[in-house]
Amino acid sequence: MLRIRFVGCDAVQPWGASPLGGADAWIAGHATSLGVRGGVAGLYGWKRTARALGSTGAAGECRLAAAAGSPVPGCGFVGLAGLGDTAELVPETAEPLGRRIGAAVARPGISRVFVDVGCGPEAAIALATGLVLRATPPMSLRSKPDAEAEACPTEAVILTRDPALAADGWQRREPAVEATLWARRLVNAPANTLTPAGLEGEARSLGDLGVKVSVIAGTDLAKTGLNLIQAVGQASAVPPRLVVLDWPGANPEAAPLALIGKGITFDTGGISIKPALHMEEMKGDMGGAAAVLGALKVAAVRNSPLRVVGLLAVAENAVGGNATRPGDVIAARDGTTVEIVDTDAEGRLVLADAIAHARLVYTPFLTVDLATLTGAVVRSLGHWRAGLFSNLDAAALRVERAALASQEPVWRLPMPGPDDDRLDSDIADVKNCGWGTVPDAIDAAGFLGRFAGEGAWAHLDIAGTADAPATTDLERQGPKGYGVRLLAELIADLETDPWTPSSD
Amino acid sequence: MKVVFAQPGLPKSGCLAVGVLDSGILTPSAKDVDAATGGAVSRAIAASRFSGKADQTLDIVAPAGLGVDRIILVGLGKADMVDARRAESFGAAALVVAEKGTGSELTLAIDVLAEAKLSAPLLAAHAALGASLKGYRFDLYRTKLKAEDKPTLKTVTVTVADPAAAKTAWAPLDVVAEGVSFARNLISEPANVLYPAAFMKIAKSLEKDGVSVEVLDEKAMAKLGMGSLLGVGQGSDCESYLVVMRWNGGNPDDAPVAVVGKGVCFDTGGISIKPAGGMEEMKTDMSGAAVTTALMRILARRKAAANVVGVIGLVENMPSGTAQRPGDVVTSMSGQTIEVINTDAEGRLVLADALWYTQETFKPKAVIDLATLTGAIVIALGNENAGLFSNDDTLSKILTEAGQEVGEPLWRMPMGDAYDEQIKSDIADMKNVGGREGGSITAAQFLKRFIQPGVAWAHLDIAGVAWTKKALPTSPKGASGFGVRLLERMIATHYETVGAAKPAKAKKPAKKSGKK
Repeated sequence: MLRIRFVGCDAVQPWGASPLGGADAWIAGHATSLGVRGGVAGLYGWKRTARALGSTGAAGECRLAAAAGSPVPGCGFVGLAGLGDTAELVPETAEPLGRRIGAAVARPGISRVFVDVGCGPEAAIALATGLVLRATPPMSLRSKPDAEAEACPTEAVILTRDPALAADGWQRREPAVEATLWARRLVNAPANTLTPAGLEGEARSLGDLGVKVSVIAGTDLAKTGLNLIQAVGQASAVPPRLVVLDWPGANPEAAPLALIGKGITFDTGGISIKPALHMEEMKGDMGGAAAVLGALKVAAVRNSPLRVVGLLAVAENAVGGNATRPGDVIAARDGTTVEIVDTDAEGRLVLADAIAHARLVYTPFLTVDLATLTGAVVRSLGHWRAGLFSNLDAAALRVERAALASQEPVWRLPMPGPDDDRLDSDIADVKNCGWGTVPDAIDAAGFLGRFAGEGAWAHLDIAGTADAPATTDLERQGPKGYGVRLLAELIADLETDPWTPSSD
Repeated sequence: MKVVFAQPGLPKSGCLAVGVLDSGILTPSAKDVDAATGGAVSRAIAASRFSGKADQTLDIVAPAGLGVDRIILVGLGKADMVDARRAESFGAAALVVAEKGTGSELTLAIDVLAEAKLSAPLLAAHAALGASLKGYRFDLYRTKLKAEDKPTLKTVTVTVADPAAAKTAWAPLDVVAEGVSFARNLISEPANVLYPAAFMKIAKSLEKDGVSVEVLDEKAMAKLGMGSLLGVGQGSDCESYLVVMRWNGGNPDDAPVAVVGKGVCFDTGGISIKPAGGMEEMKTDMSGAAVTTALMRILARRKAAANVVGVIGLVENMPSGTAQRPGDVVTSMSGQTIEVINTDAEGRLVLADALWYTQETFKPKAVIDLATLTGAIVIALGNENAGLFSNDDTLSKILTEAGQEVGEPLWRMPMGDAYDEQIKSDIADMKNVGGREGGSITAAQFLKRFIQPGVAWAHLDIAGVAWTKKALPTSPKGASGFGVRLLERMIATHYETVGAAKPAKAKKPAKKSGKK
C-alpha cells in the first residue's frame, strides 16, 4: 500500500539533505481568494505556475503538469489543488481533495509525492485516506504489466501543522483504508478463483489475528437448518457454506455486534437466469461479505474491545440439474417456509438463514447486514447512497452516524407497511419477491426483517454503492470496497458509546 | 350523500354503526345496542374473530329488539389511540359494510371517550369525512348500471353529545371532502373529455368561488419564452395552457405560497412512445394539476386566511409530425437550454417553465410542486409514500407532518451534486433525463435548476400514489386525490393568518355541485 508520512510546516526538505530532492511531484493548494497556499508558497514562482496550469483555485480542480522550469527545483511534476474559497480544509472537503490529488499523481514517473496544501491533522488524515483510495490501482491479472493503468506512487508526504497528531490518527485510520483495498481485491477477483471455498480461505486468513473462524458446510447445513443457503448454492460444483468469524473483544461471552454479509461468489440468477449482457459484473455479488471481512480485520488489527461476530452467507448461484426451481418451497433456519418464485432473488434467501442463525445462536445486541441486493435500490438512490432499512430508529441512527463519519453515505428508506401483502404466498409463509413494478428494495428488506425477529437490526442494500459506474477524479470505475469504513466506524462508535436497549 | 348531526339515540331504521374498543370492550353506544337487542352484540363478538382491533368490522343483520336493518360493529383499537384518522376509518369502514345493503340511511354513533386524542364532536366530524371520502364513485360513464349495483345510501347521520359543535367542525371538512371528490373527478375523466382546453375551462370556473384566474395561451407563453413547456405540447392538436389561480385571503402584503401542478392531460410519451400495456392510466398524468386546482377551490370556499397561488401547466404529449424529437434543444423561460433526450420525461419540462414563471411573477415565500413524475419513485417507495424532495428542511418537516396527520405520507429522498452531474448535456445546459440510476432524484435535480436562489421549494413525486389499484382506508380504487388534504392541512396550520382581511372581490360560494 502507498506509504503515508506527515511532516511539519517547517520541513521543506522531506527527502534527505538535497533541497526537495527525491519528490517527483509537488502539489500545493490554491484558494480562489487567497492564492497559492502552503508552507512554501512564498518561496517559489507559483503565480506563474498557476497561470501556466490554468489553475483558478476552484474546488474540484487539480492541475498537474511536468514542469521543466518548475518552481520547485528538481521536481519533475508540479500541481495545484483547488481549495475553493475555504480558508481551512475539514475532513469532508479534504477527502475529496485527496482523491483528486490521487487521481492526478497515479501516473508513470511519479513515485514520491509531496502535498503542501496547508491543513490541520484531521484534514491531513482525511486527505491521506482519499489519496490512497483513489491512487491505488485495481488488481491486475495481466501477464504483461500495463504501466499506465497500474501506475501508483509508493509514498506521499503530507505537510500539516501537527505531524505527530496526524501520524497518530493515521495509525487508527490506516487499517480501515487497507481493509477497503482488500475488499476491493476480493470483489474484483474472478469467480473462478474466488469460489465459495476461496472466500472461505480469505476468511480463514483472519485466524492469525485472533479471529475464531468456523464453517458450516456439507451435510451440516441441512442439520443446522440452513436450508436456504443450501438451496441457493447446491447447483454449483463448489458447495455453499456459512462462514462464522468471531472476534472475542474484551469479553468473549458478551452479546456481540453481528455483521452479516451476502457472499454470492457468482450470481448467474440460477434457473431464473440473467441476460448475458454484463453478467461478468456478477462476480461482485459478494461485496457485502467482503465488507464484513474487512471490518472484522480492522477490529482485530485495532484489537477492539467489542465482541463482533461476522457471518458470511457464501454460495455460488449456479445453474445445474439439481438447481432450485421457481416454485420450490424451502424451510428457513427459523422454520419459516419460503416459496422461491424467482431464483435470482437469492441474496435475501442466504441472508435470511444467516440472520436467523445469528439471532438463534449468538443473540446479538445489534445485527447489521450488507448486501448487493436489488436493482431497485439503484433505481431509487443511484450510485451515491446505500439504502438503509431498519426495524428500529435507534439502530438506523447509529448506522447513519457511522456513515457520516466514514463518508460512505446512506439514505434511509421505509420498511413495508403493516398491511403490505406483496410477499404473500399461496402455498408457504412467504415468497421471496413480488413481480412487476414493485418496490423490490423495500420488499427485500421486509423479507429480511421477518428473520431478524424482535432484535435490533439494520440492512444496507449496497447494490448501487459497491461499484463506481465510471472513472472520475473521485473514483475509479469498479469496486469501491464500500462498507468497510462504515462498519469500522460503527464498531469504533460502539466502543466509545455502547449500545443500550433504550439508546434513543 | 347528505351528512347530518344529531343527539345520541338509537335509530329506528337504516344501518347503525357503533365502535368497539380493543379486546372487545364495548363503547357506551355499543352497550346500549347490546341491551336493546338482548345481548346480540356480546354474543356476536363471542362467536366471531372480531376483537375490536382497528378497522375490523362485524355486522349483525336484522337484529331482534331494534328496528335497524343492520348493526355494524367497527373496531377502534385502543381508546388512547383514537384520533382523527381512526375516526375517519371508522366512518369509512362502516360505510363499506352499509353499502352491502339497500338502505338509504347510515347512523354513526360517536361516543365520548375520555382517553381519545380528540373531543367527541371532532371525532364525529372526522367520521363523517371518512364516510364521505370512502363513498366517492365515478359512475358518469356507466349507462347500464344495474339497480343492485347502484348506491342507495342517501344520508349519514352522526350521533354525538354536542351535535352543534360537530356541525361547526364539519363545515370546513365538508369543503375538503368535496374538493377531494373534485380532484378525483378530474383525474378519472378520460383524456378525450378532459383535454387541456377543457381543464382550463374548469379551472376558469373557480372564478365564481372568488379565485382570480388568468389563462396564458400558447401565444402568451411564446412571448414569455416558455420553450420548454411549449415543446411538450407541440405534437398535439390541443392547445397548451398555463393557468394561474390566485386566492388572496391573507394580508395583502404577505408573499403567497405557490403550488405548481403538472397537468399532462394525456401522456403517450411522445416520439419516445410508451409501451401499450396500461397506457390508459396516463390519463391521470395531470394529477398534480388536479390536486392544485382542487386545493384552490377548497381554500376559496372555506375563505382561507392565506395568500395562495396555484399554477398548472396543461399540455398533451402526443407523437406526430410536429412533435418534438429526442435530441431537440429547447430554451426555457429562465434562459437555460435543455436537450430533450427522452420525450417521455416531459413533466419536468412543463414544470420548469411553470416554476420559473411562478417565481418571477409572484416572488412566493415557498413553492411546492406536485407531479406524477417518475416511474422510478414507484420502484423506490411503492404505493405507500409519495417522494419528497426539497432544498428546505423546515418546509420538508411541515409537509411531512401534515401528511402524517391526514394519512398522505411523504418520504424524503436525497438530492446532491453527484446526482446533478447525471443531467449534464454535451450540447446544452442540461438534458432532461439522467439515466435509470436514481431516476426520481435526477428528475428533482432537474427541477431544482429552475428554483431561484433563496426560494424554499419542495417537490412531491406522486406517481406511486395518485392512482391506487387497491382500495385505501378512505379511498376506493382509482384516483386517490393524494395531496389535496395534505396541502390544505399544511396551509391551514402554517400559512393562515388569523383575522386577515377578506379578499375584496370574493363572491358567495356557488351552490355545491353534486358528484358525477
